[in-house]
Amino acid sequence: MSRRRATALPRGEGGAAEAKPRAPLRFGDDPLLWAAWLYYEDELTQSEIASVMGISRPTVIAYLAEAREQGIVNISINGDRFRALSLARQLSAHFGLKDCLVIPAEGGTASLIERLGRAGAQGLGWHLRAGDMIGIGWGRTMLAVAEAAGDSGLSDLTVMPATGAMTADLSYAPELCATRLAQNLSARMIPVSSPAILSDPGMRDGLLQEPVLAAQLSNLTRLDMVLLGLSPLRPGSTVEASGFLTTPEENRDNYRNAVGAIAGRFYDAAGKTVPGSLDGRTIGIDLPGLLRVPTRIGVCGGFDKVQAILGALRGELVNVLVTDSATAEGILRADGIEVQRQSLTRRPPTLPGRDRDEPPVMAGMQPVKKILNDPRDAVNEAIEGMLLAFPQYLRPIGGSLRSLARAHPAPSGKVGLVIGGGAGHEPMFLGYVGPGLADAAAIGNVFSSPPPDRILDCTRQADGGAGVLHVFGNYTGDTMNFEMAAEMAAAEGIAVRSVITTDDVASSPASDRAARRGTAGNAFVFKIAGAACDRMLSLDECERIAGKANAHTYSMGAGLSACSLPETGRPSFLLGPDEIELGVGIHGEPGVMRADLMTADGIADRIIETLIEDASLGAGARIALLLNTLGSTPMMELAIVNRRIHKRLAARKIEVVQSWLGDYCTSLDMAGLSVSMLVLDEELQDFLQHPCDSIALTFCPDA
Amino acid sequence: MTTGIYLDKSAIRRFLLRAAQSLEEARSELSALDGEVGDGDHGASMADGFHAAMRGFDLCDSENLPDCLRAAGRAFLQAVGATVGPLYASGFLGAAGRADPDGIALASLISGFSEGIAGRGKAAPGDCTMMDVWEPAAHAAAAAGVTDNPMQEVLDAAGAGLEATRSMVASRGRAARLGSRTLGRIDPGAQSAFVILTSLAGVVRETDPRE
Repeated sequence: MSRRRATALPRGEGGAAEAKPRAPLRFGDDPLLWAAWLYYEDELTQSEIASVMGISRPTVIAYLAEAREQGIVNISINGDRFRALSLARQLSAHFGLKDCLVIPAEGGTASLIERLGRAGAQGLGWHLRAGDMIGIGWGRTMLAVAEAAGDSGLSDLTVMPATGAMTADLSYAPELCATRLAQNLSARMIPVSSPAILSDPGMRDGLLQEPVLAAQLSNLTRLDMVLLGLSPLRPGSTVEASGFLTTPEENRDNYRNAVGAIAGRFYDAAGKTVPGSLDGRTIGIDLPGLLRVPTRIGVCGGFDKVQAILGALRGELVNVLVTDSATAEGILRADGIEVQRQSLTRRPPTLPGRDRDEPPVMAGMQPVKKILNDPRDAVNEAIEGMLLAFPQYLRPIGGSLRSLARAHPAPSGKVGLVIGGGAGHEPMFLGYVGPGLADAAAIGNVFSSPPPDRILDCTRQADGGAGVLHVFGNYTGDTMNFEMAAEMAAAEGIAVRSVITTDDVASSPASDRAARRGTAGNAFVFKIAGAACDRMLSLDECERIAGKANAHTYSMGAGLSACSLPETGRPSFLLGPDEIELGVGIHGEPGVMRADLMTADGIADRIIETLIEDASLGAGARIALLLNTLGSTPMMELAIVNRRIHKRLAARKIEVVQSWLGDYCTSLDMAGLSVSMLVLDEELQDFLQHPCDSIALTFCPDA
Repeated sequence: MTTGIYLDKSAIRRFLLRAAQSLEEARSELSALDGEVGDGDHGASMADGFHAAMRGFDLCDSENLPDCLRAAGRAFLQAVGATVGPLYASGFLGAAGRADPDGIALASLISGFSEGIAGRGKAAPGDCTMMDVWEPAAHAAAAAGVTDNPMQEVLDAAGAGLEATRSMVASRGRAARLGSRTLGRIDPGAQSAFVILTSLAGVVRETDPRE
């Protein structure tokens, strides 16, 4: 590894010259470039360079300085770290913080909370002095800070929880966080011998008279610093999970203006106290008390926390902030600050449309050439064309181009399968209508759910007396329109069940599977659900099996360029020439992460490792694999990625039972691909091998 | 006993017309907002939807206000689909449920829309959606009671909710997957809800019997 790694750039002009040996031809007559090359690439010492170039050592030093000044040499700091540093500086300046530490948003294997914990412990260590009294809040992040804290070697430290105690089954309760921190800092611990929340104000007032508790709490006014977690007031947040708010009504009615909570105290968007019914029942530091503590270290990261952090910063409830770069950028943008994107390597910024005062029209947002007539007719004209090409599979229901049924009716007594969604994903959805697959598909406008009446038409058509199964992707519009159609069908006496697909691992963490979006993995779910219906199973069984197929399906996409809608004709976002977007959706939405462009193998590795981890696949697992183009990426490139993925799966002893490759669920003209896998057991494998016949998917096992 | 501002059928008709016109004017602005976080069709969906709703209201056979509001909602839905179709259709149904045969109290109209939309979309304030405008508006309308200028209080609350969507991360709708990229931006659904309430305020100003 080189001590000094920098890039020497060629340049046009020559520099100062002395009598000297001629430079090798490749340096032209540029001594600065030559000196820089010898120093940074060949790693010679300055004396060695002096003798090679026939000049004095001070001249070498001057050349090297000049080379940096003229930009022949760029010294670059790792981009993520540089960005974090510059965000920390902007946050400190904008909110007048005493100190700020921003860690990169992505950081290897450790979770964000663990890494925030380590950073918080570092921030604590930086401000800690011998004899300090430290208060600590509670929550997962606080526990992570406490666990990451190391012995400072400082004497006479004291730790105390900022509030009373909580239910024993909360692993990150105040008393546990404080105890852990005290242990790791080798500090003395002062407990707060009371619950944080009492059932009535009278009880609290009584307890506060108790000398033991009063003495303990008096220490809260003597804190030198306090470590705080910030909780947003969202369902499932720490403050809710802790049982602080006993009923949702308590949340809604008393705290309607609150954006966050610190140590069980609620504040609004300006960081001002929001009074409420809990105040008289809470034992612990309050916000005015908090403001008197000289050093208030908030440790907090994640998009959902931005509102809570912003309020706390505006109200100066924290004056030292430890967060991650994605959250830091979010905070600045939410407060209307244009995030500086310059970097030491002087690469031009490539992220478009980030600033709200700037129209999202960039130099590169040129209209894309398309083969269209009137863009508003695109969907109907495309469906007309499909019907002409595939009359053996599809026919319109009641003359509607947006409600399509299979050309030959299904046997009666079969559960009907209805699928649907927006146009623009061809061959999804109409390509999956046929024997062994769906009985009908409802099609909306481009990337827009069909309205309920079309879905109802499909449902009536598909009903053969045994009920109808709706399968569609997890999007707000689709969910509502299908839900309304199901209600209307039920009113007509048709039994309807719904399975909502959630295969896109990038759209939500595994812990929140139900929030994931449905993408190309739909193809697997349609296949399995279609087979179950075709085998004349009951509606209950069909619903169970389709739900199981969805639960076993995992997808992830990578985009090279955005798609453009027929009506606007412009890309929905821009990627730099050397960038790739990981975790893209199928509606021109940007992905979850932007990375430098990688090789095919690099993309394959990144995706398959994510999928294997998300599905917790071990040796001996069997899967069906689907490589899908997002629109304009050719089969050839899919195949190159497929090769690597098979190789990686083989190394993990994961068996690929079926391997699909091609266009299954596109996103107009987007460049990129997605990888889906269906994790098989006996039952799913059996249904997967059931015959089917449609535009997109034909399978004849024994043909 | 006074019950605050009461709107008859012709006032509701004027409200629908004014909302459709205002949304038409805001069409491209709303679509541009939506293009940054969603798929860019919000302006068209809302303008087309309210035009359709007004036509549905006019074409309704019944003289009865609740029936006409239901017809308006159905027309909106059939014209638009997508995400706002079911939401506003449910909003019209909610308002219909609180309307009398010949009119509706202002607070009932706003809370009817708010509850109908919330029941369908299951979003709450803080989710960075139109509910960040509708819910505070409904709350302010109910709390304002018979004060001099209830619509000003409604608009103040709605405007604060609208502005707050800048600091929110969308957890619903297509914007949800953008994570922090929605920060600093007004939610397009909240913006169109504010346009609708502003139209309503205009109609109330004209109709207020005390003037």
